[in-house]
Amino acid sequence: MDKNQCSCVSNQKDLLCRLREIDFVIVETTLYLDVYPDCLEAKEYLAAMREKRAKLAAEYEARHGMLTMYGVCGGSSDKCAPWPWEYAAN
Amino acid sequence: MWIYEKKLQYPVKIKNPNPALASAMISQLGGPDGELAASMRYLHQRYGMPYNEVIGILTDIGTEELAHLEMIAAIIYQLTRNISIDNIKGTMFEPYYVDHTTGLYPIAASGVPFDMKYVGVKGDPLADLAESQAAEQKARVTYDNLIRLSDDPDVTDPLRFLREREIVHFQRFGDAMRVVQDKLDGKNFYAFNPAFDKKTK
Repeated sequence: MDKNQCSCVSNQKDLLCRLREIDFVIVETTLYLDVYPDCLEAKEYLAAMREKRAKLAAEYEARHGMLTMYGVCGGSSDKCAPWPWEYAAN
Repeated sequence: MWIYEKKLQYPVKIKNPNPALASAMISQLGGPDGELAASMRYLHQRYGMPYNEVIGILTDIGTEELAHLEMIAAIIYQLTRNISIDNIKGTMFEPYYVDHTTGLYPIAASGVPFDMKYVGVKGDPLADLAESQAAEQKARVTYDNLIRLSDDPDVTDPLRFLREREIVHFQRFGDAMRVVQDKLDGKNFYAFNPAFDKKTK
Protein backbone atom coordinates (compact mmCIF):
# COMPACT_ATOMS: atom_id res chain seq x y z
CA MET A 1 0.00 0.00 0.00
CA ASP A 2 1.04 3.58 -0.63
CA LYS A 3 3.25 4.65 2.27
CA ASN A 4 2.46 8.35 1.90
CA GLN A 5 -1.19 7.57 2.40
CA CYS A 6 -0.51 6.31 5.90
CA SER A 7 2.39 8.40 7.17
CA CYS A 8 0.36 10.69 9.44
CA VAL A 9 -1.13 9.47 12.70
CA SER A 10 -3.03 12.57 13.72
CA ASN A 11 -5.88 12.03 11.33
CA GLN A 12 -8.59 9.41 11.97
CA LYS A 13 -8.49 7.99 8.47
CA ASP A 14 -4.73 7.66 8.44
CA LEU A 15 -4.73 5.90 11.78
CA LEU A 16 -7.55 3.66 10.55
CA CYS A 17 -5.53 2.90 7.43
CA ARG A 18 -2.54 1.78 9.52
CA LEU A 19 -4.80 -0.31 11.71
CA ARG A 20 -6.31 -1.97 8.62
CA GLU A 21 -2.88 -2.74 7.23
CA ILE A 22 -1.71 -4.42 10.41
CA ASP A 23 -5.02 -6.27 10.80
CA PHE A 24 -4.60 -7.58 7.28
CA VAL A 25 -1.16 -8.89 8.21
CA ILE A 26 -2.66 -10.53 11.32
CA VAL A 27 -5.50 -12.18 9.36
CA GLU A 28 -3.11 -13.54 6.74
CA THR A 29 -0.66 -14.87 9.31
CA THR A 30 -3.45 -16.40 11.39
CA LEU A 31 -4.88 -18.28 8.40
CA TYR A 32 -1.38 -19.54 7.59
CA LEU A 33 -0.80 -20.69 11.17
CA ASP A 34 -4.16 -22.48 11.25
CA VAL A 35 -2.83 -24.99 8.76
CA TYR A 36 0.94 -24.73 9.51
CA PRO A 37 0.76 -24.56 13.32
CA ASP A 38 4.41 -25.53 13.81
CA CYS A 39 5.92 -22.64 11.85
CA LEU A 40 8.03 -20.83 14.46
CA GLU A 41 8.83 -17.88 12.18
CA ALA A 42 5.12 -17.20 11.60
CA LYS A 43 4.38 -17.54 15.33
CA GLU A 44 7.01 -14.98 16.27
CA TYR A 45 5.92 -12.65 13.51
CA LEU A 46 2.27 -12.87 14.63
CA ALA A 47 3.19 -12.14 18.26
CA ALA A 48 5.15 -9.04 17.22
CA MET A 49 2.32 -7.82 14.99
CA ARG A 50 -0.27 -8.36 17.74
CA GLU A 51 1.79 -6.24 20.11
CA LYS A 52 2.04 -3.47 17.52
CA ARG A 53 -1.67 -3.77 16.82
CA ALA A 54 -2.64 -3.43 20.48
CA LYS A 55 -0.75 -0.12 20.74
CA LEU A 56 -2.25 1.21 17.54
CA ALA A 57 -5.81 0.16 18.51
CA ALA A 58 -5.44 1.81 21.92
CA GLU A 59 -4.30 5.03 20.26
CA TYR A 60 -7.20 4.92 17.78
CA GLU A 61 -9.81 4.20 20.45
CA ALA A 62 -8.54 7.00 22.71
CA ARG A 63 -8.93 9.51 19.90
CA HIS A 64 -11.87 8.29 17.84
CA GLY A 65 -14.06 6.07 20.00
CA MET A 66 -14.23 2.35 20.61
CA LEU A 67 -13.90 -0.17 17.80
CA THR A 68 -15.72 -3.10 19.37
CA MET A 69 -18.87 -4.04 21.26
CA TYR A 70 -17.11 -3.03 24.47
CA GLY A 71 -18.27 0.46 23.65
CA VAL A 72 -19.06 1.05 19.95
CA CYS A 73 -20.42 4.56 20.29
CA GLY A 74 -24.15 5.13 20.40
CA GLY A 75 -23.93 8.65 19.06
CA SER A 76 -23.76 10.84 22.14
CA SER A 77 -19.98 10.90 22.41
CA ASP A 78 -17.87 13.55 20.69
CA LYS A 79 -15.32 10.79 20.05
CA CYS A 80 -17.39 9.03 17.43
CA ALA A 81 -15.99 7.96 14.06
CA PRO A 82 -18.45 7.56 11.17
CA TRP A 83 -19.94 4.11 10.49
CA PRO A 84 -17.59 2.04 8.33
CA TRP A 85 -19.83 1.76 5.24
CA GLU A 86 -20.25 5.52 4.88
CA TYR A 87 -18.45 7.37 2.08
CA ALA A 88 -16.97 9.80 4.58
CA ALA A 89 -15.46 6.97 6.65
CA ASN A 90 -13.12 5.79 3.91
CA MET B 1 -19.07 -15.61 20.20
CA TRP B 2 -18.24 -12.83 17.83
CA ILE B 3 -17.12 -9.26 18.34
CA TYR B 4 -17.98 -6.48 15.90
CA GLU B 5 -15.23 -4.08 14.91
CA LYS B 6 -16.26 -0.68 13.68
CA LYS B 7 -14.13 -0.61 10.54
CA LEU B 8 -14.09 -2.09 7.04
CA GLN B 9 -11.40 -4.67 6.27
CA TYR B 10 -10.47 -2.67 3.16
CA PRO B 11 -11.71 0.84 2.28
CA VAL B 12 -14.74 1.43 0.04
CA LYS B 13 -15.03 4.98 -1.29
CA ILE B 14 -17.27 5.39 -4.31
CA LYS B 15 -17.72 8.95 -5.62
CA ASN B 16 -20.44 8.36 -8.22
CA PRO B 17 -23.74 6.60 -7.53
CA ASN B 18 -24.72 3.93 -10.04
CA PRO B 19 -27.83 1.91 -9.09
CA ALA B 20 -27.56 -0.34 -12.16
CA LEU B 21 -24.09 -1.45 -11.06
CA ALA B 22 -25.43 -1.99 -7.51
CA SER B 23 -27.91 -4.50 -8.97
CA ALA B 24 -25.00 -6.60 -10.22
CA MET B 25 -22.90 -6.23 -7.03
CA ILE B 26 -25.75 -7.46 -4.84
CA SER B 27 -25.09 -11.05 -5.96
CA GLN B 28 -22.05 -11.09 -3.69
CA LEU B 29 -24.36 -10.16 -0.79
CA GLY B 30 -27.11 -12.76 -1.25
CA GLY B 31 -26.28 -14.73 -4.39
CA PRO B 32 -25.30 -18.43 -4.74
CA ASP B 33 -21.55 -17.74 -4.41
CA GLY B 34 -21.83 -14.59 -2.32
CA GLU B 35 -20.20 -13.69 0.98
CA LEU B 36 -23.21 -14.58 3.14
CA ALA B 37 -23.33 -18.09 1.64
CA ALA B 38 -19.55 -18.39 2.14
CA SER B 39 -19.70 -17.42 5.79
CA MET B 40 -22.67 -19.70 6.53
CA ARG B 41 -21.00 -22.61 4.74
CA TYR B 42 -17.70 -22.47 6.66
CA LEU B 43 -19.12 -21.56 10.05
CA HIS B 44 -21.47 -24.56 9.90
CA GLN B 45 -19.10 -27.05 8.31
CA ARG B 46 -16.61 -26.58 11.15
CA TYR B 47 -18.64 -28.58 13.72
CA GLY B 48 -18.10 -31.80 11.82
CA MET B 49 -14.35 -31.41 11.58
CA PRO B 50 -12.27 -33.76 13.73
CA TYR B 51 -8.96 -31.86 13.48
CA ASN B 52 -8.03 -28.54 15.09
CA GLU B 53 -6.29 -27.14 12.01
CA VAL B 54 -9.46 -27.54 9.99
CA ILE B 55 -11.82 -26.18 12.64
CA GLY B 56 -9.51 -23.19 13.01
CA ILE B 57 -9.28 -22.36 9.31
CA LEU B 58 -13.07 -22.70 8.81
CA THR B 59 -13.73 -20.44 11.81
CA ASP B 60 -11.25 -17.77 10.73
CA ILE B 61 -12.21 -17.75 7.05
CA GLY B 62 -15.93 -17.89 7.95
CA THR B 63 -15.37 -14.84 10.11
CA GLU B 64 -13.42 -12.99 7.42
CA GLU B 65 -16.32 -13.61 5.03
CA LEU B 66 -18.57 -11.56 7.34
CA ALA B 67 -16.11 -8.68 6.92
CA HIS B 68 -16.42 -9.15 3.15
CA LEU B 69 -20.23 -9.13 3.46
CA GLU B 70 -19.92 -5.71 5.08
CA MET B 71 -17.61 -4.47 2.29
CA ILE B 72 -20.13 -5.57 -0.37
CA ALA B 73 -22.92 -3.89 1.60
CA ALA B 74 -20.80 -0.71 1.70
CA ILE B 75 -20.32 -0.87 -2.09
CA ILE B 76 -24.09 -1.18 -2.67
CA TYR B 77 -24.88 1.44 -0.01
CA GLN B 78 -22.54 3.96 -1.63
CA LEU B 79 -23.65 3.14 -5.20
CA THR B 80 -27.25 3.95 -4.21
CA ARG B 81 -26.43 6.94 -2.00
CA ASN B 82 -28.22 10.26 -2.71
CA ILE B 83 -29.97 9.00 -5.84
CA SER B 84 -33.19 10.38 -7.29
CA ILE B 85 -36.07 8.50 -8.87
CA ASP B 86 -34.73 9.50 -12.29
CA ASN B 87 -31.49 7.61 -11.54
CA ILE B 88 -33.63 4.49 -10.96
CA LYS B 89 -36.27 4.55 -13.70
CA GLY B 90 -35.52 2.18 -16.55
CA THR B 91 -32.45 0.62 -14.86
CA MET B 92 -31.87 -2.91 -13.56
CA PHE B 93 -32.33 -1.44 -10.08
CA GLU B 94 -36.02 -0.56 -10.61
CA PRO B 95 -37.62 -3.87 -9.49
CA TYR B 96 -35.38 -4.00 -6.38
CA TYR B 97 -36.33 -0.41 -5.54
CA VAL B 98 -40.03 -1.34 -5.61
CA ASP B 99 -39.52 -4.01 -2.94
CA HIS B 100 -36.65 -2.66 -0.82
CA THR B 101 -36.18 1.06 -1.66
CA THR B 102 -32.41 1.50 -1.06
CA GLY B 103 -32.35 -0.86 1.93
CA LEU B 104 -29.80 -3.68 1.96
CA TYR B 105 -31.47 -7.05 1.33
CA PRO B 106 -29.40 -10.18 0.57
CA ILE B 107 -30.52 -11.25 -2.88
CA ALA B 108 -28.89 -12.59 -6.07
CA ALA B 109 -28.41 -10.41 -9.17
CA SER B 110 -31.14 -12.54 -10.74
CA GLY B 111 -33.57 -11.39 -8.02
CA VAL B 112 -33.73 -14.62 -5.99
CA PRO B 113 -33.48 -13.95 -2.22
CA PHE B 114 -30.66 -15.57 -0.24
CA ASP B 115 -31.18 -19.29 0.27
CA MET B 116 -29.31 -21.83 2.41
CA LYS B 117 -29.73 -24.22 -0.54
CA TYR B 118 -26.55 -22.57 -1.86
CA VAL B 119 -24.62 -24.07 1.04
CA GLY B 120 -23.47 -27.65 1.42
CA VAL B 121 -22.74 -29.29 4.77
CA LYS B 122 -22.24 -33.03 4.38
CA GLY B 123 -20.61 -33.90 7.70
CA ASP B 124 -17.55 -35.44 6.05
CA PRO B 125 -14.24 -33.52 6.00
CA LEU B 126 -13.24 -34.53 2.46
CA ALA B 127 -16.65 -33.74 0.99
CA ASP B 128 -17.02 -30.48 2.90
CA LEU B 129 -13.52 -29.18 2.17
CA ALA B 130 -13.93 -30.02 -1.52
CA GLU B 131 -17.17 -28.02 -1.46
CA SER B 132 -15.40 -25.11 0.25
CA GLN B 133 -12.55 -25.11 -2.27
CA ALA B 134 -15.07 -25.10 -5.13
CA ALA B 135 -17.00 -22.28 -3.42
CA GLU B 136 -13.86 -20.10 -3.34
CA GLN B 137 -13.27 -20.66 -7.05
CA LYS B 138 -16.92 -19.91 -7.87
CA ALA B 139 -16.74 -16.69 -5.86
CA ARG B 140 -13.49 -15.80 -7.67
CA VAL B 141 -15.29 -16.24 -11.02
CA THR B 142 -18.16 -14.04 -9.82
CA TYR B 143 -15.60 -11.33 -8.95
CA ASP B 144 -14.01 -11.76 -12.39
CA ASN B 145 -17.47 -11.21 -13.92
CA LEU B 146 -18.19 -8.18 -11.71
CA ILE B 147 -14.79 -6.63 -12.49
CA ARG B 148 -15.57 -7.00 -16.22
CA LEU B 149 -18.94 -5.29 -15.67
CA SER B 150 -17.56 -2.45 -13.54
CA ASP B 151 -16.64 0.73 -15.39
CA ASP B 152 -15.82 2.57 -12.15
CA PRO B 153 -12.30 2.29 -10.67
CA ASP B 154 -13.72 3.13 -7.21
CA VAL B 155 -15.74 -0.10 -7.40
CA THR B 156 -13.12 -2.21 -9.17
CA ASP B 157 -10.46 -1.52 -6.50
CA PRO B 158 -12.25 -3.23 -3.55
CA LEU B 159 -13.45 -5.97 -5.94
CA ARG B 160 -9.82 -6.78 -6.77
CA PHE B 161 -9.03 -7.06 -3.06
CA LEU B 162 -11.99 -9.41 -2.54
CA ARG B 163 -11.05 -11.50 -5.58
CA GLU B 164 -7.54 -11.93 -4.21
CA ARG B 165 -8.93 -13.16 -0.88
CA GLU B 166 -10.85 -15.93 -2.69
CA ILE B 167 -7.56 -17.17 -4.10
CA VAL B 168 -5.82 -17.11 -0.69
CA HIS B 169 -8.75 -18.92 0.93
CA PHE B 170 -8.68 -21.56 -1.82
CA GLN B 171 -5.00 -22.17 -1.02
CA ARG B 172 -5.67 -22.46 2.73
CA PHE B 173 -8.55 -24.92 2.20
CA GLY B 174 -6.18 -26.92 0.00
CA ASP B 175 -3.72 -27.02 2.91
CA ALA B 176 -6.56 -28.14 5.20
CA MET B 177 -7.43 -30.92 2.75
CA ARG B 178 -3.81 -32.10 2.91
CA VAL B 179 -3.94 -32.09 6.74
CA VAL B 180 -7.05 -34.30 6.64
CA GLN B 181 -5.56 -36.70 4.08
CA ASP B 182 -2.31 -36.97 6.06
CA LYS B 183 -4.33 -38.20 9.04
CA LEU B 184 -6.40 -40.74 7.09
CA ASP B 185 -5.42 -44.11 5.59
CA GLY B 186 -3.33 -43.22 2.52
CA LYS B 187 -4.45 -46.39 0.73
CA ASN B 188 -8.12 -45.48 1.00
CA PHE B 189 -9.15 -42.03 2.27
CA TYR B 190 -12.77 -43.00 1.86
CA ALA B 191 -12.81 -46.08 4.08
CA PHE B 192 -13.56 -44.04 7.16
CA ASN B 193 -15.32 -40.74 7.89
CA PRO B 194 -13.48 -39.24 10.88
CA ALA B 195 -16.38 -36.82 11.47
CA PHE B 196 -18.67 -39.76 12.23
CA ASP B 197 -16.53 -42.82 12.95
CA LYS B 198 -14.04 -41.14 15.28
CA LYS B 199 -15.37 -40.80 18.80
CA THR B 200 -15.14 -37.33 20.32
CA LYS B 201 -14.25 -36.42 23.86
